[in-house]
Amino acid sequence: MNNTLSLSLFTVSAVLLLLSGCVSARDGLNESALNQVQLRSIQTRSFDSDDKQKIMQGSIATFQDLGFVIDNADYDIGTITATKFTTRFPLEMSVSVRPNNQKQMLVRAVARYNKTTVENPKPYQSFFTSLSKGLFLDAHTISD
Amino acid sequence: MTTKMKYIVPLCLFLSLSACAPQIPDDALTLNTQTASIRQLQTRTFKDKALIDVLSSGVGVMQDFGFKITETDKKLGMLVGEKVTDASHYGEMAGMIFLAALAGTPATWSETQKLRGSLLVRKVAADKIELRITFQNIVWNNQGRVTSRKTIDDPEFYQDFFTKLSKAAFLEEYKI
Repeated sequence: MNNTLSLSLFTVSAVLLLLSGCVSARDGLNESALNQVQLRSIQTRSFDSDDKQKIMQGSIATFQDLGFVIDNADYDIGTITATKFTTRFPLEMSVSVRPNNQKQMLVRAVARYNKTTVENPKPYQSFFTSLSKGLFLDAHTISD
Repeated sequence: MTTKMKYIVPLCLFLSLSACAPQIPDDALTLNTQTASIRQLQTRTFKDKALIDVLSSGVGVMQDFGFKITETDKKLGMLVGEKVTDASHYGEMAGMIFLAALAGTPATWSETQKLRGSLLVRKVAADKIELRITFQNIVWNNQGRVTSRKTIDDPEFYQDFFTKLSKAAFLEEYKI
C-alpha cells in the first residue's frame, strides 16, 4: 500500500518537474489570459484634450499622489514609468500617451505586480479615476 | 486510500499552492484621505518665477544633497535622482550581534540604503509654478537582502529639502 502511494507521489512529482522544465522565453512573452483587444480596452482611456504636455504632467502628478516615484519619462515618445512600494511587492507601472485624433489623447497604463501583468480591470479603473480627478477631465473607455 | 485519492490529494495540494499568488492590493491605485496632506508636504509654489529656473534650482538642491541625476525631461519639467548611503548604526549592529549570539544564528543589520527622488515642476496658473518632490528608500542588510522599501512621508525630510531649495533660489538669483 505504502509502495503504491510512494509510486503515485513519485509519478506526480516527475510530471510536475517535466512540466517545469518546459518553461520557455515564449511563455514569458505570452503570459496574458486575455486577447490583445480585451487587454487594451482594460488598460486604455481617452481624454478630451489635445494637450499632450498637460496629460503627461497630470499623469506624473497622479503617480505622485498615489505614492509612486517616477523612474523615467520622455515627452517625445510619450512614456512615463514609475514604481510604488506596497507591503509585499513593488508595483511597476508604465503609461503611454498619444493622440487619438485632433481633439483626444489616448492614455494606456500597464501595471506589473509580483512578476505578472495586472489584468484585473478594477485597479485600472481606480488609476483612471484618480487621473481624471487630477486632470479635471472625464476618462472615456475606448469603446465609447 | 483509493487509487483515485492517491492522485487527487497531491494534485489538490499543488493547485492550492498555485492559487496563493499575491494580488495587487485593492487600494494601491486609489486616492485616500491622506493624499491631500501628503501632497501639501511634498509641494511648494513659486510666484513670478520662470519654470526652467525652478527646475534648475531643483537640480542644484538634489546635487547639494549628493544625489546623482539619472533622468531629466525639460518639456515635462521632470527630473529623477538617486543616491546610495551607509545605513549602518553601531547601536543596531551591536544589538543584532548580541541577539544573534544568543540565538546561534548569523547576525544581520541594515547596511546600505538607496534614496530615490522624482521632482515635477509645472505651471498651475499664469504666474504660479508648482514644484512637487517624492522620495522612496530601499534598505539592504549586510547579507545583501532588501529589508525595507517604502515611500518617505516624514515631514522633516521634506522640510530639509525645501529649506535648501529656498536657499538655492536665493544663491542662484545672486549667482553664488
